[in-house]
Amino acid sequence: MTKTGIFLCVCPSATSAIDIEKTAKSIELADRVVYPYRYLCSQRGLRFLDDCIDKDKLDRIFIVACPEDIHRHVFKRASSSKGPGIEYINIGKIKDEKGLIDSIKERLKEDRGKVIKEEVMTREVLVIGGGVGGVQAALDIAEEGYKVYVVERTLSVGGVMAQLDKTFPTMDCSICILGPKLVDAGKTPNIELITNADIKNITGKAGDFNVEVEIQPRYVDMEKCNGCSACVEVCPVILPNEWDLNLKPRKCIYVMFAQSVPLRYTIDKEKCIECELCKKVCELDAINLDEEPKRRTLNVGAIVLATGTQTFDASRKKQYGYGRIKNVVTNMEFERIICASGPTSGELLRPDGKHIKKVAFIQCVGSRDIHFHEYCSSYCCMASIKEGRLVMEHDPDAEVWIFYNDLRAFGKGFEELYVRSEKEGIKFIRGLPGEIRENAETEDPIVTFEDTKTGKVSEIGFDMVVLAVALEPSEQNPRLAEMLDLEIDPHGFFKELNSTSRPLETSNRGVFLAGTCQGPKDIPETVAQASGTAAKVCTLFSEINQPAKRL
Amino acid sequence: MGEEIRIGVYVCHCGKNIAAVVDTSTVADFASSLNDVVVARENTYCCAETGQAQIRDDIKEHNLNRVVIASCSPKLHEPTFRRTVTEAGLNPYLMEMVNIREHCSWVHMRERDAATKKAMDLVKMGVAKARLLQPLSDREVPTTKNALVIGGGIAGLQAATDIANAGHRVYLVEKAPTLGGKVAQLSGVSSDHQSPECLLIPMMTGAIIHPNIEVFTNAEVKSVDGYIGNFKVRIIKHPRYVKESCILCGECSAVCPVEVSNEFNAGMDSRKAIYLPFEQATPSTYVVDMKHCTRCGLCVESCPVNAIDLEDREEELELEVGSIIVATGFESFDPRNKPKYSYSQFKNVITSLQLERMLDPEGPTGGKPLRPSDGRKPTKIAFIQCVGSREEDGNQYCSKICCMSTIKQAKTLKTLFPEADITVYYRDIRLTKKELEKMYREVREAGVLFVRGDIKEVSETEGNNLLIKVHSETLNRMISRDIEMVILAVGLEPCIDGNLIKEIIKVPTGTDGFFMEAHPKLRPIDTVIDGVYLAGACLGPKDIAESIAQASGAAAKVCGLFSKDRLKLDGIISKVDPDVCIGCGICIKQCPFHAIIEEEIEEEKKAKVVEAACKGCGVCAGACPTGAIEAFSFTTEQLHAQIDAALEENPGEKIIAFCCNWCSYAGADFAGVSRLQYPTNVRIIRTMCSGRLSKDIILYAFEKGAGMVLVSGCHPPGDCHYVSGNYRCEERVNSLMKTLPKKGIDPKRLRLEWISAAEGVVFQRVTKEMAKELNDVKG
Ligand SMILES: Cc1cc2nc3c(=O)[nH]c(=O)nc-3n(C[C@H](O)[C@H](O)[C@H](O)COP(=O)(O)OP(=O)(O)OC[C@H]3O[C@@H](n4cnc5c(N)ncnc54)[C@H](O)[C@@H]3O)c2cc1C
Ligand SMILES: Cc1cc2nc3c(=O)[nH]c(=O)nc-3n(C[C@H](O)[C@H](O)[C@H](O)COP(=O)(O)OP(=O)(O)OC[C@H]3O[C@@H](n4cnc5c(N)ncnc54)[C@H](O)[C@@H]3O)c2cc1C
Ligand code: SF4
Ligand code: SF4
Repeated sequence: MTKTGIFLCVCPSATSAIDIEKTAKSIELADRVVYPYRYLCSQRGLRFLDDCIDKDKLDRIFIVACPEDIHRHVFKRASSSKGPGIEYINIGKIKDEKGLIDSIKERLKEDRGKVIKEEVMTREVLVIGGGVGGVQAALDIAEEGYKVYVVERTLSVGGVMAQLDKTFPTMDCSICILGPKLVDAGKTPNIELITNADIKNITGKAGDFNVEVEIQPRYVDMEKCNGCSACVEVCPVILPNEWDLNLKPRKCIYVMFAQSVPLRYTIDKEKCIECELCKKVCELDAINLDEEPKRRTLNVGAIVLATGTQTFDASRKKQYGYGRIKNVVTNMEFERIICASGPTSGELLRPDGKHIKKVAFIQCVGSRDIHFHEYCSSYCCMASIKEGRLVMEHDPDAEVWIFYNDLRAFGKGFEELYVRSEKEGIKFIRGLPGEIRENAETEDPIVTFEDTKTGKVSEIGFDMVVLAVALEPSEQNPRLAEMLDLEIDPHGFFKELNSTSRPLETSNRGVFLAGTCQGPKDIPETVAQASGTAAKVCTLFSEINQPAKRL
Repeated sequence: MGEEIRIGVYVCHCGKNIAAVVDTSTVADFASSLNDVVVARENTYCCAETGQAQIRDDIKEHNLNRVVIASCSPKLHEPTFRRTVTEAGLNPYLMEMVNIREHCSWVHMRERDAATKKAMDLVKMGVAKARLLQPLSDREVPTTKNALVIGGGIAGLQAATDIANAGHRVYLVEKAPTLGGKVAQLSGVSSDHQSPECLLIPMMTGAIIHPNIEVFTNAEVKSVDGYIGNFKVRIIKHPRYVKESCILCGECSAVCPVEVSNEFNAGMDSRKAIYLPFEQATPSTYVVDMKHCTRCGLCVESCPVNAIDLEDREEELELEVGSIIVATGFESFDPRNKPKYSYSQFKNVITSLQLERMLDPEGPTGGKPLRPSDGRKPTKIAFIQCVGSREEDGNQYCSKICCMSTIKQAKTLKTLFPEADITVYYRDIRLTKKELEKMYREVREAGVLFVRGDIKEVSETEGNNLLIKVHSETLNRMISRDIEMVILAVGLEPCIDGNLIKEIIKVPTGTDGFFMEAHPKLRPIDTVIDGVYLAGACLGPKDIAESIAQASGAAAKVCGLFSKDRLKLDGIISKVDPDVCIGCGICIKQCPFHAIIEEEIEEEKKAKVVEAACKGCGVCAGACPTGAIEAFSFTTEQLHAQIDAALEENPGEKIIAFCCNWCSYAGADFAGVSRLQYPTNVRIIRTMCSGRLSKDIILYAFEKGAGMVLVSGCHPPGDCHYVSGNYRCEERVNSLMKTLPKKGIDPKRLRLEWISAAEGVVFQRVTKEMAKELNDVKG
């Protein structure tokens, strides 16, 4: 006769609604003993478990406790020295003793000892998204000795950070610190960058994912092109440059930005007139106007999602007139306006050529607003302080106003920068403006606001108003989530396994999260988290290496 | 050497960062006029792929054998450009960087002409040094694939677990008798319903039973020697006085006559001198608090398994590890330091940590947050935010987690006491995680009131009730409120014991007192010391999730390091020329790393540098009376050449600033990053350590006519990256001061200053003062 022990972890958070005694009574038989224990996963609990196995000569063991992934490593190690393997029942989803009793009885009927077959294991990793988060994850995973593919939708890795001018709180130049990292990623032998590509399908599970990638044609052979730019000179088609808010021209054959990685040219096929001038001038014969999309299938053991965010469409907030009023811009656009390599070469000019002397920043546009996104985007208070400081650096006489609700300067060195900026003359006005109108003659935006510190309603004209827009989950998230069988949180970001204790993992054991695709965050947090996923990949690969005995 | 010197000079625009202030084309033109310069170019971004390609192409095309890059701080891109030149076949040490951004364009933003002139001087200095650069080779050393994790809080536990799971051995050192850190004291965590126990217990147990983790509780790190891949660590294991055979029966505690305040419950109840820190403490054995034990022996007799041994002794262990993670966490702010809150004076003013303990069913009040004065249910409760944070005269920083913790606590209190009036007095509500804003709305909807204002005073009225005076921002006037219990949302402070670690490992701290990362954005986990990483709240206030994510990040760095069997160390070391050495042995005494030994060459005593042990500080070179020692990349000849170039024109108007690489140079960089403007007549010369400087080198600057000389290094006692280089420097400067008048030099022209990497402001102040003095002297 086999003797079964059912260990019930009585922890206050999971079992407060369950009558343990009643449960025990209705399950116990001569060959079946229920052992309730408070915090079975503690060191004491393990001792208790060991003692009971020995004392009562148990040869089948159930552990009824919180979700397995929290404690599996504890019980697995404890049991490997003892005889019987351990079967788990998750108490997390069980509401009352009836549910508990039913699920225990159900499991008792099941054939035990289903040995799971040895897991297949590919020690290669896919990173989806090549922003600073994805690139950092790739670098760290490659450093651990694994091969990494980075699939990036656009023409270059870099993400949002590549577009920024300076970065808070230390105000260093964004591309200067990011650029070399990108170059590194491009050069590391273990990293393969697959840019201009989309994920079409993913099947499989941890250890063995099959990923179908479609690579869009660049019409320029990546192997041959050396970035000499001879083609650009001859291309007759001049187009507005999206990278610089369409304020600067580019040719139909172009690179996304000067520090692009890979630095290879691409033809904007929709606008191409097929004059083939570029083809003639290219000494390396790199141009092929008939290139077709290519498909590739990658087999990887783990996936890191680093798809970042998109910015809120400010025209949805009608009262601020974005899209209608010319000199109301988003902070992303302002980053380009103020950037040395931007459309105005770093001069603080409006599109009409007027010098920007008086700027207003409006916070929480699309964030902390139940009409749009309830969450705080967490980067924008500091981004506005940063941009405000830059304005004053360009022109010490400029006036900078920041309209806010709560000023969230919570990170390392943030409060210090805030205090310094206030001392140095940035005006901080508590209270968000009600609306923005345009002065028809001067095209100056006029801001109506109530200062909650003084209770007065005023109207002030500015040369430019900058809207600090929300970071929102990418529209692509649901599709990826479906392919990977992941949960999306109520806001649309990828849901982590547990927002306090397992911020990097997801409900799919082989999928990890890096950066803002998990929720808004700044660069340091993105980078730290991305490095963290490298450790998770390492753990997964060593876990799968030692197949679990039974389930 | 007969080799013809062929130098390429690259002047970077850094977008507009440099070019907006410095006239880069003038600088490039000037560079091309210098001797031995074969090409000189401008480049928008030298560090971009195209910029690097240009340099590589030029090296090949023009046969360059030296490269000078005038751009940002070498602290940022020296590794990048070293690699660039290597790729073109040049020895990496034949590249010299000239810092015209942090040390020029960013600090002279409104002085275009002077900044351009300065940039020209700096380039001239760089070229002068470059001529004399020697090729060096990197050293290879084996790595020990064991890691040390200091601190057994949630961050340390996570880091240790991840490294151990990857198959490496980990030593986890915790100073307290149990693992767990501050999370053990929390009653709930903000964002979800998981209890902190369910988070922490499996991690603590997991660490204890993990075959790859060895846990030392009640232990301390005494010393750390060595370098990346090869650290030697001494650990002291304090005695527990109770053996592992303890069965937790608690008989000992019952008989122990000594009662002391219970730190785990934030002083709200007492424990015995023999105790279990908390029920789930791990390792789960009792422990004797020897500070309070009277050695009466009652416990020894009471123990049924003879587990108590009051003669238990301290043990010292030596471990060899390849990498170290510091996860020493934080300390809660002690509100006694702020009299206006009257904490400790009035019973019903408690801290948020105390409230956490009260809310714990196992806590001192059995989970009921009752008034300490009379055990009554409070009906009017106030939370006061930013206690010990965001102050002008105290901690300037925001503690980040206290708003969140207050929202969480207010929610719990409102559920327990639906009738109670709960008000939160705050300045800004700072919630950052995606799920918190909803919780904030829910507590407001549940009736918790949020009042924006400044607390002026907390006083006591009848029946231990409290009166608080607040300047309400909304009403723009003073208001007074009767309150029955006040909760102070205390901030987070750097851990005092963590600071011991600072002295032992030399990880610098910022002005806020927390450990400083190598780069705030790109290397938020690394420290300036190779092989040493940071995790959790020891870096600055962090919540649990962030601590955990970062700890995994630190673990990944360690795994990356351990994926290789051998490591490269750079080639910057010192070397003795036996022909010049007179065997005096001074260098042997002064080397902080015992890296110089005595050997006999043809029956004469000579000094010899042990290459693997040498850290390249150059303290020996600064000490050697005969100039027999060369500190590579910072040779006397090279330093002289830089001084010559700097002082070629108008020497009397210039200030030569010798800055050590780790503190002062970084401090000057920080002045740049912070755009702190200072006079344009400062010429910085970098050495690895201030201890590299000999009296002769300083004198040389005066001989060449320098108006003023600044020598600056890391703050004593503990900041010096090379243990005692700063003291050696101080000795030399002090002795030189005495002889200066004899040489007709006013000692006022020489100044010694300690400037840390965070003290950009100090660098600015000192250089301004010196410039002013120089002006005054000149009249
Ligand atoms: C205006 C503005 C100013 C800011 N200023 C600062 C600052 O000063 N300091 C600071 O610390 N932070 C700042 N931030 C925040 C910072 O930009 C982010 O923290 C950081 O960029 C996040 O990096 P990430 O890698 O997570 O995402 P992203 O940078 O968004 O990168 C995601 C990448 O994934 C790609 N991608 C998306 N979906 C897919 C898909 N399905 N398949 C393949 N590829 C995909 C995208 O093309 C992109 O390259 C600012 C943000 C904005 C908007
Ligand atoms: C009142 C309060 C409420 C909070 N509520 C929440 C919440 O709801 N949600 C949330 O996410 N976070 C919350 N936090 C924050 C949370 O406590 C921290 O994020 C977390 O404790 C950080 O973990 P850590 O491991 O970095 O540091 P710690 O927990 O401080 O652990 C550091 C460990 O290192 C040890 N140590 C220190 N120096 C040495 C040394 N020299 N040698 C050896 N060991 C050493 C210490 O003894 C300690 O065990 C709260 C904090 C407080 C104060
Ligand atoms: S960071 Fe500031 S501006 Fe951005 S959503 Fe949060 S509170 Fe609003
Ligand atoms: S988190 Fe909130 S309470 Fe804490 S210091 Fe920052 S603003 Fe103040």
